[in-house]
Amino acid sequence: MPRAQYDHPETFDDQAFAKRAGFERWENYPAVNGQMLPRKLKFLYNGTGGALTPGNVYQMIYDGDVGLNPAVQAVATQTIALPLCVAKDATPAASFGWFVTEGYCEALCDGNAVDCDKDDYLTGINAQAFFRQEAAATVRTAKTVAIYADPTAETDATPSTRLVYLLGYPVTV
Amino acid sequence: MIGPGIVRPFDTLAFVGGVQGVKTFENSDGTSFDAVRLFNATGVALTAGRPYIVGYDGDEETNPFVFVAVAALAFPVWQVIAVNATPVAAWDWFGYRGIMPVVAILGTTGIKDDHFHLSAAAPTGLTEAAGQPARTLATIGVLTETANPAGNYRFNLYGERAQVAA
Repeated sequence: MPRAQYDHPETFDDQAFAKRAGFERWENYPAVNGQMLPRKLKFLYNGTGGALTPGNVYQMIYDGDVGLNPAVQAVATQTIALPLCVAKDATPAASFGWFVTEGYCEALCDGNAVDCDKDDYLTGINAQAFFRQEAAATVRTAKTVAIYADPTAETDATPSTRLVYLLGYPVTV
Repeated sequence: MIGPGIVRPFDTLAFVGGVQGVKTFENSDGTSFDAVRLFNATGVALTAGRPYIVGYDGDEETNPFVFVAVAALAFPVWQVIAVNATPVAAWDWFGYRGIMPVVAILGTTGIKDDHFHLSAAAPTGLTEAAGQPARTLATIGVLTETANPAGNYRFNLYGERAQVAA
């Protein structure tokens, strides 16, 4: 379920907890707008084949090998709903790391064709590591994965990390 | 929402007090339901037991919020039940999983174990559609009693997102 800005989930020390595959936890973090905002993190395997970039968007997948499950891959077109997540750290290839799966985070957004403005709904894009505005900015669809929360619009051809709120459930791409 | 290796976000009320995200309400008979804290963006005071849809806003001060169903939605969304008569533009608790009282619009059967959904045509309560007790992509809870003089019937909410019926 979603969390609001005034929530105060307990903040955990990463080192004090066993980092188990699929482990989830909420935390407050200092967002770019200066507020302490809640976000849900999940411990996932980097199955992309390369090191990850914080703020980039990935797709959660599953694997029959317990050592590789659950994992992330590059965002790909899907007719079934899969969760999208945002890398928290520069996770090396073939290792586990933390990913934001719900709540507030700074994620890569693209304003090349259409600007991303506050309150715009966002979608994942096939083979891209950024979010882009929905076909109709204010209409939720089965592809809507986040809402743009940054006071600064994303308007140019160079994607930038911007404050968004991840809805936290699986979507199509 | 809960799977292998996953722990539920626990109730932080005991730790920090005041407003926080998710907590469990206990009913007088020992049953319980889980609720989440959301903003009332409907523009009017809410009715306890009435279903609403969870919406999102770019402003942290009003996100996430609840609104009244106005159209069918063919993709699943979170639907919640007002615990209290929440004032306009205020934060409050909304149930989404477990057993809680809900405004029900009973059909011709209206019996225990029937599944109910939120309909855009009748958003003041959960509607029993023809064909229930079969569960559909839109049903969000099951009726747990056949009659209730208090008016609000006890439902067992699945705690899963669902479509909104026409």
